[in-house]
Amino acid sequence: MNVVDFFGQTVNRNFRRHPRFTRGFVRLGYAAQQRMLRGKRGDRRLPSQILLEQLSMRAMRAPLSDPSRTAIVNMFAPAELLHAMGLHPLCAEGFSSYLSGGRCERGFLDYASERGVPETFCSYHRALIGAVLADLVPKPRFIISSSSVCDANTSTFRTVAAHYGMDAFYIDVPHEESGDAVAYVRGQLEDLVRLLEDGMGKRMDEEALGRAVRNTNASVRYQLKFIEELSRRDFYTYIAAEMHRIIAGHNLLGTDEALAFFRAQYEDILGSPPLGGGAGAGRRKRVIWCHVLPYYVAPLKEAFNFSDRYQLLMSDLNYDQLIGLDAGDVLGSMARRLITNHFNGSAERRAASVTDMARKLGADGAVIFCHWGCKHSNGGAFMLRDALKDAGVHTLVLDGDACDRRNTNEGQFATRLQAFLEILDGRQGGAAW
Amino acid sequence: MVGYVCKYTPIEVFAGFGEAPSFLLPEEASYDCADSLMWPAVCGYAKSVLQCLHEGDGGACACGAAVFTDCCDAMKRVYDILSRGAVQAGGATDIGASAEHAGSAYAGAPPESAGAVAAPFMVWLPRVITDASIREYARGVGSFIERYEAYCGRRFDVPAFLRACARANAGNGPARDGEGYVALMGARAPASLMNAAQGLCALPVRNLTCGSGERKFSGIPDADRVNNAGVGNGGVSAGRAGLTDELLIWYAGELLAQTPCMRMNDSGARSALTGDPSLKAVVYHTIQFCDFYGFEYARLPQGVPALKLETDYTPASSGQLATRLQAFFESNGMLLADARARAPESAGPSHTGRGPADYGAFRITGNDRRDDMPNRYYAGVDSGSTSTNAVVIDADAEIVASSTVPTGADSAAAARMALSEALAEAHSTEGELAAIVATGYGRVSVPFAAQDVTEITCHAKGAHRLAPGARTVIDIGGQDSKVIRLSPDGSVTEFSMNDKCAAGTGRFLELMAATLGMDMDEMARAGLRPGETVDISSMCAVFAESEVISLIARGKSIEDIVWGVDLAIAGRVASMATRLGAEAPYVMTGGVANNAGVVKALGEKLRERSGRHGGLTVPGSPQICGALGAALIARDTA
Repeated sequence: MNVVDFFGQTVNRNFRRHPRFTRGFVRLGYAAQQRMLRGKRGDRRLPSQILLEQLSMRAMRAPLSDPSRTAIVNMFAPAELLHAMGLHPLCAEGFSSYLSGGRCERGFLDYASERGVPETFCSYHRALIGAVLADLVPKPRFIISSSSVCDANTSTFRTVAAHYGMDAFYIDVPHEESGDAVAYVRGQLEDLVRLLEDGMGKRMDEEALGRAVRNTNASVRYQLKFIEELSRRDFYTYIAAEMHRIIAGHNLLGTDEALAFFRAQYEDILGSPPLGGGAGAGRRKRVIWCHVLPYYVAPLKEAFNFSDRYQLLMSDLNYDQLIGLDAGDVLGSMARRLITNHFNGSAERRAASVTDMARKLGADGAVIFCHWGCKHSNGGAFMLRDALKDAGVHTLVLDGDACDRRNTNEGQFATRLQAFLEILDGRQGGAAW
Repeated sequence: MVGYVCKYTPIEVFAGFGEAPSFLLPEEASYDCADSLMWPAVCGYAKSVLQCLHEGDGGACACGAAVFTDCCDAMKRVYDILSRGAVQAGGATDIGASAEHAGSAYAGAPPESAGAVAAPFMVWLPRVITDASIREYARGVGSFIERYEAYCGRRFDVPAFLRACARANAGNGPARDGEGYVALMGARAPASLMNAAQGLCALPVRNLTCGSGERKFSGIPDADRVNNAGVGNGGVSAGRAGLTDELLIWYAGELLAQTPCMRMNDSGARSALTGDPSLKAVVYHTIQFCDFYGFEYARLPQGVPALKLETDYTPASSGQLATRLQAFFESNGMLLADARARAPESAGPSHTGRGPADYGAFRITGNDRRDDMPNRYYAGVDSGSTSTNAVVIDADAEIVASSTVPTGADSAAAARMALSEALAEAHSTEGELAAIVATGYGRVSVPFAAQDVTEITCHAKGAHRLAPGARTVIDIGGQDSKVIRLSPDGSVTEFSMNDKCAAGTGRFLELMAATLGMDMDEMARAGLRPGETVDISSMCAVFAESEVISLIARGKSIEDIVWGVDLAIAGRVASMATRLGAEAPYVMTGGVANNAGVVKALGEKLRERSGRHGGLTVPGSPQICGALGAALIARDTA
């Protein structure tokens, strides 16, 4: 039995009857993992990728150790406000991903289902609810979520808040950008600032907020420069790194650490070979990903991790809000960022943005991943497929679950993925699903 | 006529254009069109609406325009697909045009005709209720009015709109204070479900699902005093003719003041629905992949009997829904008398179409049996999906004989054969039977039974007889699995059923046995000799089959794989038991209880969940439990 299996089995076996022990054990496990993340001989990870794993691991540990300075949030809660107040965001999707990484998601998923959470509900949210109800997650100082981008937020954060006996703050986001819509969201963000100030017993530190805004803007600039370089270079990466990048680009946005990562990532790509100049024979096939990535599926890792044949370019979850903030109207620009996020509003908005991403990056193919229980993304999957197909990008619609292993059939996944890659290799036309 | 899908839709506005609202409740037999347009794993209601509006089959969706709110993610995508289809029909198919359109997809002019629905509209709906959100919603309603004016070429008639608000109030009818009723709650329900509930329940059934509810407007401005040519002040009304900020904000506020649905962030006011002292029971409807209402069901207050029914919104499961409704009303003393005592002519033909006359030898009607027969014995027949069981008991409720035959394609013939065999074993004849009760999925197709009772009630009755101390019955049958909680006197307090997929049923075992090339007896024995625990992690039987094949390819032993299969089915059923709050002692019934491997796995899973050792027993002939319960009911009610 390897160490991850031992970790998962220990958590699953104990969390129902020994929640405090389990919480301590998880903290200990994460701390041990943090130490193991340092680069080692033969490690193909780039310096920025090692840094990324370390900072996202820290982001998971902090809320468990320091609940009085923690806010349980969704992915789109305005991170800079939290960091400026010295708070740790515990993101539903990120936290559940780490449970899954430790192979202990199943116990919490079942625990939530046994308490009435539908099995068709997003497994990230279901795992978080299970972990909260089982007292793995200590009571936070705040709970903050938004209507953007998915329905799951409403049910999840309401359930979590009821368990802790506290209120959750909810940001209601209209679909379309307009002066009125921005003012509506800005007004809610003003309320959020007041809530944070009251809860923490101190005023928002303008200097800290200013620093967070500057960090965000610099991070966005580095990301845009990275994308420009990515369009003309062979960058070697792996599936899990793309998931970690989502955390850096959302919940950690505005921190010094996230900025350090985006800067390092840009420096790393500058050291990468130009297109076709990698170790593989000829040009690698370039693939974009839509939505979350089932990082644990072996055939997926075999296909893309540091592959000389196929380059995983980017998930559209790392392309959804690449806009800076206005230092003169921080809350207004945050409101605009929420409204114009390509996951908010119509499926066509996302399709247009993803198509733009595919063109910019010179993608040969795209995988649209239908994560179990995500009606928001899955409902528009075929529209996205058609848009990409019209843009000349070979597209595969794959279903599975990036959190709950039970909802992914590895054999079928492998066959479909392999067939898709064979199409890319053969430069044959058509879409696959 | 204008179609709509959400109770927050500003439907009184339609009257201002001379249009009538039509709440879309299509029940589609197939989703072939919807599944080609949308990933299948979304709510069946959304797919029904998409199928209906896209295919243009008239009926429930015969409307010129359809107005959507972003009431849920699935419905947003239905609108996206319909509006995209319209864009494509209009010729704007290139990506650039789509991208341009995307910026205003929810706010711009409606696209031209595509399929059945001439124009899909979207009205953004807030999820919180504050002064600011009411203003924002009012702005959206104003924008919709402007867009609809452009679409239909008619001016909005404000007095007609206000009169529609007044009519909505009048349409609510008188208050029914004090009258006991059953509430149909949860996600919107197809008319067939409402009709089934009303047809079986002795109490009035009120539709309180998310799409229903009374529309109440207070402080309606006087229609005669509103100047139709009035000009707005440039706020939320944006200067639209006939509209003032005040009017739009009033209307938006009234719409948002309805009893909230579960997609609203603050749904606390919904507690009024279950706090009504006249509420006697709740039938709670959820739709697969519509997750909002599963959360509310889990938090329903104790004390009011509740039945959860999950559907995929197709008519396919209506028979099973009727079974559950009947069992629920039966166990709470709310079943209509007509539904309990089946009239002979209502027995109906069997699945093969033969009428009751074919079973003349066994036709025992409620009216004549006592005059002609010595009343020695009572019989129960359990017509299940895989096997049909019959039990004959005597006047002291002792089992005299029993039989089991495969059901096959003709459930009525199987019932007749099972009863014949049992009577032969009892050295008796049909003339000695005082009463016969039928149960099981095929119970309505047992023409010689005078009464049919659901398998829920019968399993509870039979299990209480076989294991008097048991508080929970776990029945794993060929087609479904059930968990039934019992009171100390053996009556049903709560139950849960799984029949939507093979996982957690005997069918799952059969599929796995076929994959492994074993018969069921071999499989039962193999599960008791595991060396290593292997995971069958898929919840889907089809996926699990591939998983088993992969495990064989990886060289895992057959015994280990079978044990993994046993644990998978046991885990599924144990989770259902935990959800129901089941308590030990447990008794396991049904054909799968003869599989010692599954029994062992279930014991382990229940212990894992409850932390208690033991407590699971299997009676001598677990498969006859339902038939025994039916026979006991025949004896008690004859």
